[in-house]
Amino acid sequence: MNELSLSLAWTEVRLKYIRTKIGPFWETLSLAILLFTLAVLWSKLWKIEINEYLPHLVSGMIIWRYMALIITDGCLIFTRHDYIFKSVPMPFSVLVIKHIYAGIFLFLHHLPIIIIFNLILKIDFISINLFYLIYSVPIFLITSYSAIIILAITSTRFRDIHSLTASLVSVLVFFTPIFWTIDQMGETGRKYFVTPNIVYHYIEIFRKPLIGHSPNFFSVIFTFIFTILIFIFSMYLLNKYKKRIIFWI
Amino acid sequence: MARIILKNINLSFPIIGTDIYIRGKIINKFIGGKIEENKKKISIKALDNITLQLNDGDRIGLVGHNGAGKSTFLSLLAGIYWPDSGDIKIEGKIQNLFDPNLGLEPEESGYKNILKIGLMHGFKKKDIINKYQKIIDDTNLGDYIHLPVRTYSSGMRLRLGFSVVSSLSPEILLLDEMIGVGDKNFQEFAKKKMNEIIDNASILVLASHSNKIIEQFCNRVILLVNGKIIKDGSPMEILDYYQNNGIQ
Repeated sequence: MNELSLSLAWTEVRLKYIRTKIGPFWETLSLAILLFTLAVLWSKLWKIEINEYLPHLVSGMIIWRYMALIITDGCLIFTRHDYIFKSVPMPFSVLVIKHIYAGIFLFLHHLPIIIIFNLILKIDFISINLFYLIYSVPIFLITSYSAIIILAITSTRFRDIHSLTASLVSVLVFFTPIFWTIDQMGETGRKYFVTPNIVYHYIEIFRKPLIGHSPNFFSVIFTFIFTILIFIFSMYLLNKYKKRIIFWI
Repeated sequence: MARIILKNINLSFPIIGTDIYIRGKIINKFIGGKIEENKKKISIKALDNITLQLNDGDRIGLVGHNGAGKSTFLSLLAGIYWPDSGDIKIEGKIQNLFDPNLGLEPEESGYKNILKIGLMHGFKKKDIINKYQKIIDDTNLGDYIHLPVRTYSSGMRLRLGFSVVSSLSPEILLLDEMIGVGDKNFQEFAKKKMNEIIDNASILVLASHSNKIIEQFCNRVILLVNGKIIKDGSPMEILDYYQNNGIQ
């Protein structure tokens, strides 16, 4: 089952670049250039130290790219592969895991950007704080798995959900402290935009360890509880509807 | 020992996203399934109270007009659909060949595609690797095996898919109308392969519109009408009944 997921995900990546020369590096390179220029510009505009702002923006954005891929394309995994489900008995989890692999590949090939900028700016990121990732990675994976199941089931049944999710995702990136930092937001702003924003807490537990800090305790607790809840809900949904999904595809 | 036991199986397809007006119009007796309406949900009854036992050595031919439920029945056995009610008991490794090219990736070489097709059909990676050479020999593709599949003719593609899926020896084999495809060359090839796997399988279930194929491969025929089993018996008897009664 895992072999198939991995093979499908790997083929997808290979096919994207099969006839290009430096293939995947174009995407990484252009993202690096974009983030670097934005960081230079905005750190001047907002008068923040570039040493502080650049790692914040770069790591936040690369984690966000992973999340956006998981969420928006996650809606489509059943409908896009309808021919598979109609021809062989295929557990839904195979394609869910395949999609997570696709997200991991994307993240891994952007990860060098974070590391290179960290090295250039001499950020002390190889520290004890990296151990927080032992918590963050499983939390990310379980949440991704559950979120894909929920989104895929609901948007297979109600086709509008994909468009709705896609537009929410494109707005969410501005409401989450990725381009800006929470220090720039006033007390009230934080109360309404930051504290209840689950995406922020997920980015926080991953971003902080990558740039040499420890995540705040509240985010750790918040993500932990949310992960348990979303996992339970996704299993409930899958069990309730797994026999019906094939008729909706 | 392979065996399939079905008890009072019912299966309906819900119709989603069709408005009431159109629904009224599609109630048409030429449609195979029975359309049911309860409350606001509309569904098509595809299988109606099916009770059946298939034993070792059975070579089942499914006959019936379009929409009689043949493919649904096969998909149910394959594990693609779940019944609304009733019990299914299947003993033995079951394999369907509904789409031998499932998993085929045109940009990749035939060589790499062998693994993809195999994994997609539920095989373990190590089992496929053990049979790699045999599969390649079976395809008869020669050096083409290292070229991307997009350069293949459709006959060559079929040959590739077919060689992979036929290299496994399932105890229960499900087939849906696929023998008639491809050119004469492929037909010969398919027939040879087919005989091979059918001989090895304990139970065969085959849906077809061709009496010739049914007579050639089957020793028991089941006639489906509107999702119900109307007759079950020897090929001669059922095919005669089917033709003479002109069941639509």
